[in-house]
Amino acid sequence: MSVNPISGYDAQQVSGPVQVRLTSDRVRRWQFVSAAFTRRGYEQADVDRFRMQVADELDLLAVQVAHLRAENERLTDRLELHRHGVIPSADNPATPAAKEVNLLSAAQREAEQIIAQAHDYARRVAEYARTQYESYLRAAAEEARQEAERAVVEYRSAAGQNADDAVATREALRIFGEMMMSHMRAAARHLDDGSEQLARTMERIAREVPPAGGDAPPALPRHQR
Amino acid sequence: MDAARLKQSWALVAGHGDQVPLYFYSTLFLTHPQTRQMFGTDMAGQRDGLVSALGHIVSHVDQVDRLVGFLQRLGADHRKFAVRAEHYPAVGEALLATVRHFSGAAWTDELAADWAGAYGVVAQVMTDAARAAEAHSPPWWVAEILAHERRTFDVAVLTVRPQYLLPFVAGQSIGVSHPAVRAWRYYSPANAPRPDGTVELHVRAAPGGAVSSRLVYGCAAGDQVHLAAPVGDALTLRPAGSSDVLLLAGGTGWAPVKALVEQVAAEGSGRRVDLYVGARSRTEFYDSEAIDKAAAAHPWLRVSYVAESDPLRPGEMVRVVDRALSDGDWGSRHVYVCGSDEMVSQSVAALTGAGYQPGQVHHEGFGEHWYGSTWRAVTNPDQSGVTR
Repeated sequence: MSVNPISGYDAQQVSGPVQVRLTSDRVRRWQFVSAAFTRRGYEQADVDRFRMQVADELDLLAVQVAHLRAENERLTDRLELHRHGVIPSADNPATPAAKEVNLLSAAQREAEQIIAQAHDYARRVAEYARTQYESYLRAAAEEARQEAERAVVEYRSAAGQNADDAVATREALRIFGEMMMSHMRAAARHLDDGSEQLARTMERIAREVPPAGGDAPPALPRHQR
Repeated sequence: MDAARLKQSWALVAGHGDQVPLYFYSTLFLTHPQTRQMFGTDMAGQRDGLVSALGHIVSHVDQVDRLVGFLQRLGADHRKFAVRAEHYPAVGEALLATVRHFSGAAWTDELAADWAGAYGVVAQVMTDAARAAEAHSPPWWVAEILAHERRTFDVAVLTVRPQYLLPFVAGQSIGVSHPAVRAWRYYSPANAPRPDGTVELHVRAAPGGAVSSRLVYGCAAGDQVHLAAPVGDALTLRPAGSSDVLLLAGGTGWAPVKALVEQVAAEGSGRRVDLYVGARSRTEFYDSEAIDKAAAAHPWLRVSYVAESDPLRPGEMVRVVDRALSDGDWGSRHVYVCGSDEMVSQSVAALTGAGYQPGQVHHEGFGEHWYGSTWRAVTNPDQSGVTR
C-alpha cells in the first residue's frame, strides 16, 4: 500500500482521526505491494485494468452527483424565487453558479486523468528498464564466468604438468573482468542513447504544452464520452 | 461563534469527500482567475491537503491557542508560493461559497457568520505571521548551482549556494524548487552548515516527478534554483543528547545521515557512530567516495555497506536493519533511520520488535509534509519518501 495517510505539519501531529477518503486519483496511483514468490496473488495486469475501471467509474459518479447538486441548487432557487421573490444564493453576485463551477471541475479532473496516465506510464518504463538492466547484468556475468572457466580449462590442457594455479586464477579473473567491463560499456552506451532520446522527448512535450494557468484552461474542453 | 455548530457543519460538508476541495478551487479560479497560475496543473494531492488542513483548523477552532503555532508556520511558509495578503479574502469567499453549496438546506445566516468569523481569525493569524516572517527571512532563497554531478542513472548530487545565508540544522529538510516548475519538494542538505553557506543536495529522479527530474536531468552548474526555509526536527541530533548513535540509511536517505556524521565531526564530542548505508544494488552506492573518506578520517566512525539485492542472486533481499541488528546490540544507542517510506517503516518495525524504545528511534514522518508539497504541487509520484 503506498497511498500515504496525511501525517503532520512539521513533526507536529495533526490531531484527531483524519479520515482519508478514496478518490479516483488515489485509486489510479495506488500501488499494491507484490506478494512474495511463494504466495499466490492476482494477475497484475488484471488488477491494473480493474483499478482503472474503478477510478473512471468514481469520476463518472462524481460528475453526475455534482451535476445533480447543481440542478438541486437551481431548482431550490427557483422555488425560493416563487415563494419570496428573492434568490437566496444570489446575495453575493460575485459567486459563480454551481453549474459553471462544475464545468471547470470537470476540465480539471480530465487534466488530472491524463497526467496520472502519463505518470503511470513513466513508472512502468522505469520498472521495465530496471528489470531489463538486472537480467542483462545477470546474463553478462554468467557469460563472463563461462568464458573464464573455458580459458582456465584451455590453459590447463596446454600447460599440462606445468600448470600453475596462481596463473590460472589470475587469467580467469582477467578475462572475467574484461568481459564485464565491455558489457558495462555497451550498457552505458545504450543508457546514454536512451536518456538523450528521453530528454529530447521531454523537451518536445514541454514545448507543445503551454504552462497551465493564467488565461490558459487547465485542460482541453471536455469532449463527450 | 458557535464551535460545536461549526464542527457539525464541517462534518456534513466533509462527507462529500474530494468534491469539496474540487468545488472550492474551481470557484476560486472562476472568481479570481489570476490565482490559477499559483498552482500546478495536477492538483489531486493538493486537495487532500486542503481538506485535512481545514479539518484540523475546524476541530480546534475553540482552542485557538493550540492552533496559533500551526497557523503561524502555515502563514510564514505560504510566502514561498507568492501568497500575499490580498489573496486571503479571495480564498475566504470561495470557501464560504463552497460550504454553502454543500450544506444545501442546512445553510443559515448564523452558520454563514460562524464560518466568516472563523476564517477571519485564521486569515488574520496567517497574514500577521507572514508579515512578521518578512522581517527575518525572505519568502524563498535564490541559489546558484555550483556543481551538478550525475552519480547514477537517476541520482544527482548538487552543490548550491544561496544568495543569502540559509540557516538550518543538520538533519532538517529544505524546500527546493525550480523557477520553471510550480512545485516544491523537500530535500535534506547532505552537510552540516558550512561557513560559505553552500548546501549539498542528493536528488533521485522519480518517474513523473516534476521537480526531481528537473533537478537531475534538466539542470547544470550556473543554473538557479529556489530554496525554502528548513522544516523538521525529527532527524536532528538534539534528542540524542551526547549518546552514541547508530545510523541507518537507504538510497538518497543517506543525505541527512551524511549531515549528521559531519555534525558529529564538527562538535568533536567523540561519540561513537556506527553507520549502515544501504542501496538497491552494489552499483548504486552513489557517494562511496565521500563515505570511505569519512571512515578513513574519523576513528569514531564505522561504516558497513549493505547491497539490498545482488543481480547474481535474484529474489534474495538483505535489509539494512537486519544487517545492523545481526551485527550487534545497539540497545544503548540512539538510532536514526532515513530512506524510502518502506525502508523506514520496516526498520522501525524491526527495531521495535527487537525491544528498542520509540524515544530512541528517530525518523521523519511518513509520506509528505502535506502542506508543503500539496499546496500547489504534484504529490504522489514525487514524494520525497519514495524518491529516497
